[in-house]
Amino acid sequence: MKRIFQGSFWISLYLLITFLPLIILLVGPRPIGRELWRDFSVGLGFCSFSMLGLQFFLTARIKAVKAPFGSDIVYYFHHQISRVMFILIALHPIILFIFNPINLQLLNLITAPWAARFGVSAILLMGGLIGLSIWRKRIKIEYDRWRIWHGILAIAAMTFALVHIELRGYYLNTLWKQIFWGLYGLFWIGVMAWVRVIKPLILLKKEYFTEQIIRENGNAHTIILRVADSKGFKFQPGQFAWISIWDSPFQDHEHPFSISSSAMDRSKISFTIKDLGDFTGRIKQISIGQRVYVDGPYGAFSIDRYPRSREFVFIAGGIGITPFMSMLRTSADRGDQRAFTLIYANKNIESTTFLEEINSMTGKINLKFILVLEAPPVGWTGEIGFVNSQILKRYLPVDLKANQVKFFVCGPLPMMDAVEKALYELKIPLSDINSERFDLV
Amino acid sequence: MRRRAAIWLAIAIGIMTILLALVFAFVQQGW
Repeated sequence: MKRIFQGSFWISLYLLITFLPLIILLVGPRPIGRELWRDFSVGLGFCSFSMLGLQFFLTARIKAVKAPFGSDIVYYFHHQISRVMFILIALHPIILFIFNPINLQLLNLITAPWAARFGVSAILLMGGLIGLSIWRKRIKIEYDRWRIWHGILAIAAMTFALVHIELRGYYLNTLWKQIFWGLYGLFWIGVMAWVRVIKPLILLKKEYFTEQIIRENGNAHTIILRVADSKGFKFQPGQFAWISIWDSPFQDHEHPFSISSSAMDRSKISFTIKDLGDFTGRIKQISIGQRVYVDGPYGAFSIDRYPRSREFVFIAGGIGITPFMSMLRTSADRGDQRAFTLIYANKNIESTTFLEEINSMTGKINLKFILVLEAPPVGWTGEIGFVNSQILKRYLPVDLKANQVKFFVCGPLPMMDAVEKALYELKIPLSDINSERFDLV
Repeated sequence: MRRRAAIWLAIAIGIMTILLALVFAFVQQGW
């Protein structure tokens, strides 16, 4: 109930901020209305400007905003709303062109007035921004490089749009409306400053050092960090953090990883990272005692959110096991007597990370462990292939009362889509399914 | 499913924005 309330609150606030410029423009003395289509176009422009600013909010890693939805969904919404926003913002000039083709002259940046130059440039920057994000992998741009450009283009687009509004100024006819727009612009600059300057400064004060690096099966490495702060690092099992190893937090080179250690030991945190090329491939080169910047914890993917549930079903694929390791280790440390079912899909035995430890855990907690292998060894009697509704049906608890059994899914995207579909077919209520997707772009 | 909800929310916000911009335009006309 609390989640629904919190979620509704944030969605309402999103709507309010999106439409705030229109409300403000309609209050008090207004300039004389112009053609209907022109005012319509301007209305769209104002609202999409707010949406552009709100994009910074969505990615500002504000814990309270992410809590009711889960970080992955907030990012997913960030992607989807950016497409909607781009359509709306493009409609702003398109409507002007359709109803008065003379306005097409505004596209000529050499002869156009400054307001139009800034407006057109803002839209071009946004198009570039969205295009780079959608096709980043296809045009083979490294994640780090993309992130830097994403930030630069976003700030430039926002600033250009603000200058466009201020220069155009037709609707800012009273002093207090001008003051509002000045403050509104400052507010968004404040959000950007928080993300790019203040937050990194806070991170600089928190110290974490590598204590141990362990080679794991499945081409992965676990790095164990010592927490210098005597209060330790408090988190819920299943949550993740952004880590930055070789660069300062100002350089925006952080990467999100699930915490794999037990939440009961606050003096240490560990991350298990699979070598997927780029940053993840360099993890093994980290030296002992090296300083690491950790921003977290984040995420709503945790059993701690369901103290009243009596049973949990974990469905993991490959390195998606890491948040589950944290939840299982924490449950073992707590002596949690509730029932856990872990369905863990992997290519083969050799690539199965944490296999021995999970097997040993079946004796410590009430854990039913099912390994599903794509390429099993000769004589394998366990499950074969991919996790589907038949496999799930065989191992799911018989008594599936809503709100009693919670499902958690984490793994590669195609697997997650298939598992979510299978759970849907098995009529598992949506509110009982938690999933974590780490494909941020 | 949550992703589908996120897509629909984005589309709904888009439609609401268009409708409200229209309302804004009509109010500006003195309606």
